[in-house]
Amino acid sequence: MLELHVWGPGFGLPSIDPQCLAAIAYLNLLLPRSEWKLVPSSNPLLSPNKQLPALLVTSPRPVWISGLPQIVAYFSQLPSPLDLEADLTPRERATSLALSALIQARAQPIIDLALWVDRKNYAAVTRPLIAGMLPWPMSWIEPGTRRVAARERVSVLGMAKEEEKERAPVIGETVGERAVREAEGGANVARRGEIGRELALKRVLAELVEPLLKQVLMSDGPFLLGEVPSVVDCVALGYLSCLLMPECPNDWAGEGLRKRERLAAYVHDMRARMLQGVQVGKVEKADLPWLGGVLVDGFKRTVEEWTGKKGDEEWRDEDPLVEEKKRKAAMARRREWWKSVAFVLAGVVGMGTYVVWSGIVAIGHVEDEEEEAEEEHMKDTVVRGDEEDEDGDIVRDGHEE
Amino acid sequence: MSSAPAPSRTFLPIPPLLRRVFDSFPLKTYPAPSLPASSPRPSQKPTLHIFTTPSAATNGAPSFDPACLRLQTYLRLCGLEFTTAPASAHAAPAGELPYLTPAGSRAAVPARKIISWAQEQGGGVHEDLQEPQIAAFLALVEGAVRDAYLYALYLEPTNFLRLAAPLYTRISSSVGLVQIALSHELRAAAETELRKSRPGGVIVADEIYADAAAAWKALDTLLGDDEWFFGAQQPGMLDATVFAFAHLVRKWAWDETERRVQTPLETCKRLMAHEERLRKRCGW
Repeated sequence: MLELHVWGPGFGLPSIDPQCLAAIAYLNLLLPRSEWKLVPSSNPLLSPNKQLPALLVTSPRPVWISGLPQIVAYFSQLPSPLDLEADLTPRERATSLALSALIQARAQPIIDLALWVDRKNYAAVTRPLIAGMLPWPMSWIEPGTRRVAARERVSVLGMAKEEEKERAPVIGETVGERAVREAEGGANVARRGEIGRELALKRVLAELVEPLLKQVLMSDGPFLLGEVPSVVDCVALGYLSCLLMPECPNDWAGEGLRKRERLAAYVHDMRARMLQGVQVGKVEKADLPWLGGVLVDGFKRTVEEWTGKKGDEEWRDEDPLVEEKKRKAAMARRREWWKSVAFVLAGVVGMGTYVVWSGIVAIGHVEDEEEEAEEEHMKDTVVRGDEEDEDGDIVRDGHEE
Repeated sequence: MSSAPAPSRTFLPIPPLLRRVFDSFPLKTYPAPSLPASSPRPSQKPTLHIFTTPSAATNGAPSFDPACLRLQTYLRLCGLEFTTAPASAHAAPAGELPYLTPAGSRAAVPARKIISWAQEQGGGVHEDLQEPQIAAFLALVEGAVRDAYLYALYLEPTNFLRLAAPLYTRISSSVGLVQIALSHELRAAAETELRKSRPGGVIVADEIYADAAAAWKALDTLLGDDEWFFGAQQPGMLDATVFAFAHLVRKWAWDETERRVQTPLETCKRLMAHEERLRKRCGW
């Protein structure tokens, strides 16, 4: 029995994550319903790669396989290989891979913008949905963390910033001043920004939708590559239905998709064909594994940060040369460290030499006498200065002494 | 001086001593300083500013950065006359290289507008980059192949210290400490970039290399026995992009234990031949 662990259901879909949806569609096409089970555990920390979707193969020994490409690769290397694309020509398989890359690269920013960065949609739809799937305290932490990650991903597009700018108050402004500023055109400026933003969003959406629409129109079957389903159909279903299905207050993405009727029809058709009969399981809220995982993970990360041993953890290969590699890396790192130390030392010594050489500080017996002389001289001037000026506060203190 | 003007109405009166100090430094606006001597000046030919070494720039030799090499190759394929100049990302108008200064002008054309600029100049290979097939394979190269390249060059420790760090940091500064700081920045930037493009933000070397191997194989299949991609008469943007990565993956002297990015490409004989063909056409 295989278990597919995914993010929980929402928007009338068995999962709210595009990659998870694609994996569900893939397994549904590949295997009879009785051979696998859908578990909406919503816990990415279950698998060693900390990623969902994750396939748990229980026999002969438990193995986790996470990520759609890895799941596809797992089934094709079995003793009796299972491959959805076995009947496609090599060129069609290549196209399937490339189109999947295109969808992933262009749809992810749109999902980020529509479901996570957009404040209204996030507050009304995404946050309650995700929080409802998670146990305490992750229901408080996780949505915010994912929103920050989404905003970082789309920061290149420059639209996440604008969203914040609109809300940002001018520092030190009173309520009355703000009213005046808005009446004088501040609101106008904001609206102009909004129109610009809408245009930018439409452009980003068109970059995804137009090529896909062309591909749907070119195909001579119900699927993107003709008469038989392929991985790219699963991926397209995953990403596009996450844009089409949610009922958001700011539904620019859904509207943009619905306007391309042929593409929207394709998504609904794929939904009917590929997600048929998928039982949406109950959301598991296993608090203990979640919390344990989070604590262990956080602890590990802290230790890694302290010891600075971050890179080593990422190597997962059982290469016999790995020891050699680690040794080399350690040596290189040590060299780098010594280099920095040498630079700092050289700088300090150089500075010291310069200071002594230029006579800013003199070394030796003379120093003491000179200092005393200088001090006395200073005192004299201060006292004399005090006597000259009669109004300052400091001066009065001086007299009292 | 002695007849003080109307008493100041501000909340805090300025003490006379401070006022005297301020009076001896009157506010003066100087004219804008001229540009530094090393800033690009208008030249007879359009100039492409790329990551390269000064000696390589005079020969017009290929850049060691894939994003730069890709557009450098594209402009050559368009048959446009241009010179190259070494630059650093800190000097670029939009913070990224390459950028182009047209002949006799200082106004920079950023990377994403260089293709349309080339088409305006009458060069340009006629193709629609939003055509599903072209867009898809371009996304594949800029996704899977680029990720593996980034991982191999920046996150593999020996490769980074031996290959990437010296070349990229030496352009920006000759001061050792600055170079060390820059190299840390470079590496962090590459890691962020990788996290962004991987679903879930998890970086696993095996997955990255496996994805790239699949991508090379798909590109090899797509090329088939044609001279250029899609059986075109002229090489286009996809040819230039694939070439940029294939050329650099072949050229870098990867560390013996960290060359997993190179081996899958070497099994794709047709792509290797394509790389040589395009290199000859560009005269490198």
